[in-house]
Amino acid sequence: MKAQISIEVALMTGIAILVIVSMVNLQFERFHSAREVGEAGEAKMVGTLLASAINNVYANGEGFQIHLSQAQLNFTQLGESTRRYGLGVSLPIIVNNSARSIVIAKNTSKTGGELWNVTVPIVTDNVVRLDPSTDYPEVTIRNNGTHVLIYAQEGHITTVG
Amino acid sequence: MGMWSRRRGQISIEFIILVGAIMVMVVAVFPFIMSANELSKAHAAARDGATFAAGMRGMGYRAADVNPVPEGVVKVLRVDMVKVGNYSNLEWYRFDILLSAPGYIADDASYASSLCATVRSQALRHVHYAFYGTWPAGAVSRVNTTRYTFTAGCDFE
Repeated sequence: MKAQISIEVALMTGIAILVIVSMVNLQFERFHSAREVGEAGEAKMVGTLLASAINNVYANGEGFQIHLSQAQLNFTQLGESTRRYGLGVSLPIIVNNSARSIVIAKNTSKTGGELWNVTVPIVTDNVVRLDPSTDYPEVTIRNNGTHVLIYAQEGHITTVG
Repeated sequence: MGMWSRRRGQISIEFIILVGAIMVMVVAVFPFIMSANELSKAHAAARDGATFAAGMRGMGYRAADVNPVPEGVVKVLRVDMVKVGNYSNLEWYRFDILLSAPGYIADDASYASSLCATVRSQALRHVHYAFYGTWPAGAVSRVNTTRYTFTAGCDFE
């Protein structure tokens, strides 16, 4: 006996490879799709967090402020798309004063969708963005008596309306 | 030991006959396997697309030109593949998608229509991607393959 590879083994190996490759492809497609939906959910939670902070600051009156840390609003991770299959969140997050809402945009074109938006309502239409500073690091939300001020980079959060 | 020794890895006559018979059978049923595979692939893709759309719309996401629907738990309960008849030279199958959604969505004609339109379109977009490898531009109402044509319908529980 000279340890030949039999034709049965060659056939079975070929078939096994075909089956495994086709199943891996199918599962990866579903994995990416599920992850896109998960990321969309996370993005919406960020919008809810921001809306909740704005509403709290507005309701508590002049001088009240809240700081949302990098751990809570990780813009780099939110907008990141190079290491992931999806396209992340389209920054900046928009605070629409006239519509009294926060708009989160998620590009789902890699998994069959389009640029899809979700809005989270806020109570005030008086939100202004300012650049962060040493006293007010990103993202600080403060009530100055007349406006709700958001200290954040323009590329991360912007206000319209 | 002569040239017919059983110790040198030859293919036995039984094996040749067996492989030959299997090949004849495979060739005979190959068209049926391909048809069944095409239907199965389309069905799986439609279910994936409908689930994706239900999840996204349930969270409140929508495209810019789509009517808003309030958030709620939207689930795909069933995706049935129903043979409708023929369309041109193709066999026509329709995906009947059954959704579960809160009453304030399912009972409102405008919300129900908007949600269903997205679910139908995404189901067919995924079918298109499964066969052609590209996402079609805009909404899709029908996908044609070599043997079949697929449409989608949507209803609530």
